[in-house]
Amino acid sequence: MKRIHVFLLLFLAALVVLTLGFPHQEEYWFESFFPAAGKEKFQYILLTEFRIPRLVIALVAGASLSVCGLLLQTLLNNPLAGPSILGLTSGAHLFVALTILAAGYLSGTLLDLSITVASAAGSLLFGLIILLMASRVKSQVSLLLIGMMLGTFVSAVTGILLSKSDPEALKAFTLWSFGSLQQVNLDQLPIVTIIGFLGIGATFFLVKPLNGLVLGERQATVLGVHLRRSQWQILAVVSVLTGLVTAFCGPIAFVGLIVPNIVKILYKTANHRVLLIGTIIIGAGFMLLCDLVIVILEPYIVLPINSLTSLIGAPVAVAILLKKVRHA
Amino acid sequence: MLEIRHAHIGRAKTLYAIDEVTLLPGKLYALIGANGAGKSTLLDAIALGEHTGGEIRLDNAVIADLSLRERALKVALVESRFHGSEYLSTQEYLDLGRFPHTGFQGVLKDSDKEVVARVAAQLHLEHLLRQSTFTLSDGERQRASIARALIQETALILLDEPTSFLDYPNKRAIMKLLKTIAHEQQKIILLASHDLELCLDYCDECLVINPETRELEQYPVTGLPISELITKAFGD
Amino acid sequence: MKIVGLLLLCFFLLKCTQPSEKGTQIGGEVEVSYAKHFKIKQHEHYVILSIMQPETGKVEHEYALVKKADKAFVPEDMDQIEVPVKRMAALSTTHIGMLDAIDALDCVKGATDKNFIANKTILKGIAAGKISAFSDETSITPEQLLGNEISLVVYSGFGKGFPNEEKLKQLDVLALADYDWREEHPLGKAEWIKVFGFLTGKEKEAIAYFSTVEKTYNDTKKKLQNVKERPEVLVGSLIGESWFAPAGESYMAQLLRDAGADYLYKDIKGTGSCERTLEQVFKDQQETRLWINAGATSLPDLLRQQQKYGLFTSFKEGKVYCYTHNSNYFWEMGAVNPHWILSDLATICGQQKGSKLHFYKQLKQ
Repeated sequence: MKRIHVFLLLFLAALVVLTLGFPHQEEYWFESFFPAAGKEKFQYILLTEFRIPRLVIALVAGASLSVCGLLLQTLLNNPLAGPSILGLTSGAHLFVALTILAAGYLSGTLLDLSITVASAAGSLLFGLIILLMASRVKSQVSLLLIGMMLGTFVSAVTGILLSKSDPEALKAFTLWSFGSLQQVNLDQLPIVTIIGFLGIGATFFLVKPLNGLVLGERQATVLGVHLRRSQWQILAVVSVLTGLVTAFCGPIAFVGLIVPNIVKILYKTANHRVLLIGTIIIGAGFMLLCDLVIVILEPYIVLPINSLTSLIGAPVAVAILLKKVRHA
Repeated sequence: MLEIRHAHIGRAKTLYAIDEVTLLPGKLYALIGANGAGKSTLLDAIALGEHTGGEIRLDNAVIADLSLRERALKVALVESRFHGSEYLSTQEYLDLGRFPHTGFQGVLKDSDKEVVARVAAQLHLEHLLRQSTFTLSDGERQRASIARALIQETALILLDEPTSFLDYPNKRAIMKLLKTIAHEQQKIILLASHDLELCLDYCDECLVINPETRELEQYPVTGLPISELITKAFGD
Repeated sequence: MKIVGLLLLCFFLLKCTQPSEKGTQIGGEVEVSYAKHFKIKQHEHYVILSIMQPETGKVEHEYALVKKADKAFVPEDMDQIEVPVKRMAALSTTHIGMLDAIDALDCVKGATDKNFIANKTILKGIAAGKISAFSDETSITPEQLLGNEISLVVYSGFGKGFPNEEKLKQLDVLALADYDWREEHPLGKAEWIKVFGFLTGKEKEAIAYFSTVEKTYNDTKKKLQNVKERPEVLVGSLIGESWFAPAGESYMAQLLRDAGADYLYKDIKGTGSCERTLEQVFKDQQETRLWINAGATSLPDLLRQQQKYGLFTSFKEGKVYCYTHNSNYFWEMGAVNPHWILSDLATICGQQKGSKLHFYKQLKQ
């Protein structure tokens, strides 16, 4: 296990260096670090204002969403669970739409923090709905359907809300809903990183109940897991992290679903202390890799991050589903 | 010693009442009843303290009053459904038996590891430890489940239909194993089953949910003809 | 230039020799110099309006514009629009601008959602319930149209036909696709005023209005053709991950060229837009000192959209111009008055002094 951690960390570090040094347009390799004469100041701005914030948010968002996915998969005993597929992102979506609308009516100004809070509250509310449904629906696939219905419901509601709103609010919301790693700025970076770290760090206090939940809710309770309390704690962490990422980057689909599955295949363990570390490293790396692909493709096409993750994520989700159906 | 006094069993409505039942260490008990009679409900009542009225005491402690952790140190439950998964190795599965004994990160101490190794050896699971729980055969799964309950080191072990997915030789092997454990390790073992012959062959006493009187009745196995048991548990 | 002038002269001569009652110019084409997506042809008793599909250039739909008395002359199988149209729906704010320019707003009985309209007369009409407001094409019901006795729906064409077009025809409601937004030449857009002129029986006013616009536009263009100093201009803003900059042959690029500006992507082929990332635009145009169409109402608003905009020289020096403070007015009046946009851009680029800005405003702190 430790060897895989070290190997993956080295891989992640290499990816970070590669991403920062990748030549955009007419640059040469690693020009960010060793700028051509006369371009020092310009390259410094590019590096600090553009590339480092984008890199850091990719790492935080990737790790956060993946950890959310892992937590939800264990909580619901469902390898297809993830914050976007279960509709938690939709909840965030709805609440952000409401906030933007309200702000549009009230003052015309938006606070990043209020969007973050709204976004977290939205995912918490929808997470609770899913949890409530999960105790009634036995089939794992049905739960996914409920999650998707939540998503459809929300897009209908936001559609109606926004058709009645003024063009400015509409524009603000549309821009946000595209999903982007470039909206975060250098001065917002500390708050995003701190909340991200706290949220991810908190999950390490949940390792034991998570491990117990692997044996199912009844057995976990017999083994001494306080079921209700643990469900609340897990959902709270997931909501904060999903809310954070969704507020700052817009909806990003499928990362939370794919990464934990990759991690499980790689580590072949159900020990969440190991899984969490693996998920953080691979989640951060996966998002960074997606971003690198976007940069590489930039001369030909500008891909939004959400399109790329869905492009990769949807087939993986289907593959997992097929495998489950075959085993069942 | 498990004592059940004047308890009503049933979640939404009372299925049956228990006036006075006492289970002693070193004995294997069978809980017999028709499907839906409330066998699993009684196991949950004991394991989770979910019952109305009366009292269930284990070694003089009221189970409902214990904290979850204290209860987990006293009662183990083997479910009929095996909760394995592709990425859960047999070793990790057994390690989870030490759950109530470990700290907040769930890390096993050397003494915990010794317990796991000892039980694994006792139940002949050593060669399976590195294997995924997904690939275990039905008999191996049942042995692993029982091993996990033993590793929990509780005075009372409850089993919900432990033989239902097994073929005949495996059924007998598991029953024999349970009897040996109960007798040698002085544990109270209560298993829910509708496999009457097996219970009569291996158990020491029977608890029968009588649908007529809606009472739980306790009988010693010796000298009890199977036809009489059938009448009591399933009616005429 | 000379050819255009000559054509214009011919056109006026033709117009003047035309008797005002029945047109004697059988099969005479009405001059359309810039617009590519419509043609108007005079017949003895009626006028044929052809709408061209912008992708293929082929005729998409033909209408016979005919006075009530002459209906018998029109071939059976042609779609007839009785002119002057008394009650129509004009679904784009651009149409409102064109109708307003020839003082023909009275016939507007249906319009788009009030959020997208600047014209006070129309807004009053909507508030009074005399004009139906439709939020989009698909949500229009026959009941609404018939209830307000609307016989013609003019909409922005998108090559797919109007929803339920055939069914509406059976109820004697015709739909007419307007492709002014697909015209690449600024004057081509404006020339669609002629379509509205012929529809409302104000063709003379429309032709006169357009020739004034054309003359003013071309005079400014000529004056600025050979200016030495062409200031570089940054155009557009981010939408999601992409900065859509107008391509070299687009409407905006032509306006900028005619206004004496230099535009970095002027040599990029295409009439639409080219996609850039923020980083690419930043590399290319960080030092550019003028920024137009930034899509914001104030500098702080712009900064809220993307804080990295603050790194652009144009932003730092406050030289950012946009029409967003009153977008509806721009969309309504811009298409039919390209000479105003040209004048605005020329003023912003410092090519002419003293003119007041029609649409644009310098963003405030």
